[in-house]
Amino acid sequence: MKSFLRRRYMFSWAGAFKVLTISLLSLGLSIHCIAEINEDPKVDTEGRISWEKYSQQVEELKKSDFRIGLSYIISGSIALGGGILGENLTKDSVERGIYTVFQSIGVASVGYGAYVWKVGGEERSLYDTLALTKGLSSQDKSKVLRAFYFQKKRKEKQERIIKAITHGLVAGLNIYNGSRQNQDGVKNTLMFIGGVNLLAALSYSIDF
Amino acid sequence: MWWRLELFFLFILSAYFFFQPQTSLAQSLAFSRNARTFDSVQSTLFVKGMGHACLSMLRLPDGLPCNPAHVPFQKKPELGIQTLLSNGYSSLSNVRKLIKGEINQELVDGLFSESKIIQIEASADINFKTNLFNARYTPLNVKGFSVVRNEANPDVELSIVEEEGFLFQSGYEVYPNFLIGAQVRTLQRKFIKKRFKLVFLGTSEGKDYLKPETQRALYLEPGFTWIFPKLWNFRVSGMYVNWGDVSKDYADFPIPPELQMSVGFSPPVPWGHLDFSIDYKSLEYDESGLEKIRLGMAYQFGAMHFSTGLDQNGSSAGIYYGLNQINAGVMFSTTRVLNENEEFFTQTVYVQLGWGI
Repeated sequence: MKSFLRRRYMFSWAGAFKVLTISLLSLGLSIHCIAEINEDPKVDTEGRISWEKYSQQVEELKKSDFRIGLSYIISGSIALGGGILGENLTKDSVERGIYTVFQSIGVASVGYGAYVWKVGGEERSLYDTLALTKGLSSQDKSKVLRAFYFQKKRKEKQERIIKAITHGLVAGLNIYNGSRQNQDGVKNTLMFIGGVNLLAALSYSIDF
Repeated sequence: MWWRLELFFLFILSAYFFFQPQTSLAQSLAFSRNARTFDSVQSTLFVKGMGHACLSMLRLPDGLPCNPAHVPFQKKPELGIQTLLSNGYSSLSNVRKLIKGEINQELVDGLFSESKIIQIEASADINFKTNLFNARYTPLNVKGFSVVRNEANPDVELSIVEEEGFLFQSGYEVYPNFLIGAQVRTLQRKFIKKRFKLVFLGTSEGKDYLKPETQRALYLEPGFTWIFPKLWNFRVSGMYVNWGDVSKDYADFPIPPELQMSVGFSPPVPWGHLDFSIDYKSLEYDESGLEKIRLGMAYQFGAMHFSTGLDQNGSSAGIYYGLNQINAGVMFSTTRVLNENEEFFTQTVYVQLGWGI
């Protein structure tokens, strides 16, 4: 019985899992994803917030952005300094390469931190725009906010669907070509690219 | 100020981690190895940095959580690729030839004659994370370690493992702050674990002696975590690992099931996020009680993730940076290996490079 179970389940999983398990998993999830995508767009709680509440939230957000931005600036500076120091200390080429990446991430992190601190997300931009617009009552601003978040939700869903389909097609193409390949190296590479794109398609499909 | 006391505590603990003399190690010379590379354990750079004390860590920046019960803590879907490499990578090609059975004199000379100790780990992972389930595909994971003793008539201890595997994990919060989860691991591995005289390889029998063994495995590993949010987010975690079936048992490569336990807590700090973790778990089958205790600390600040860990076999510290799509990390570990009554402190450097969408 034990050996039967081994042959029946374990070897089929562990032996041929490269394509089989990923494909089965993907299929099951795709059904779930399609169900998610086909749901009617609904206005979430963000869309129903009032201008007064939104103002308070954005003020809190600005304080939070300052702390987060500063964290990224400081940690980025450490990465840049450490990367330069490390690159000069080590003789190993791979390690030097990683320290070079550290420097790049450091600079990018400083830039990201400055952006978060000074610019922030679109909530802040929307808030500033509405705050500077004269002649709009609080009720009018609340209506604009609801419309904005409704549209945003729809656009995000459409964007994810387009990306999911694109990655899914690339995945299908690579897996199909991989399955027709005889040469192991090329086959594994195509399957690998196919698998990555399949997972990418899933990551864009799922909207929990 | 309360936080100054905590920073002082943090400093003392960090200093302890770094300067603690390493007291034990390889009681026998057999298969002594790097303290952060284990034959049957696959881990990321961050986990290695924490000395594998990760069971109660709710989130890991560079991979899947060690405990499947923590899956719900993933904020948004992520797909990423991570590649890890340790020093000694110049031997990677030769080690892979050996595991493929492509043995010749040039390969033997290259592997065993040039240095006393070879240690290498290389892996590539594709991680997919959501708040309902996580998946990882590992197309390649190679771990190699060899020690050559007695120069007059060299004895070789060799351990090479190459694995390819898939992991799927899911978790759920059944009661407020009480989570359960389970993971399924499938893998197929080739390995060579032998002790032999180097001259023996010159014979025709010697070439067959290094023929790799193969094994397929399927494991089901349940876990839980209980969180006490008011007590610095104190956590108690447990996981039953290596519970499953293998295609064939090998006496020289036992992987027994085990209940692993961990406690962790996250004291508040003015900037960033701090975690401590203490795990009780085996990473090799023949570890003693004290060797199973592993201490880990992690600190996240902006794009930086610092980790450090200590156990009886070594200490480690690593830094990992992740920003948007690209991430990279470097980690250092020190291990004491006994060899011919001499003490070798082997320093191992791991690097990791990743990309995510």
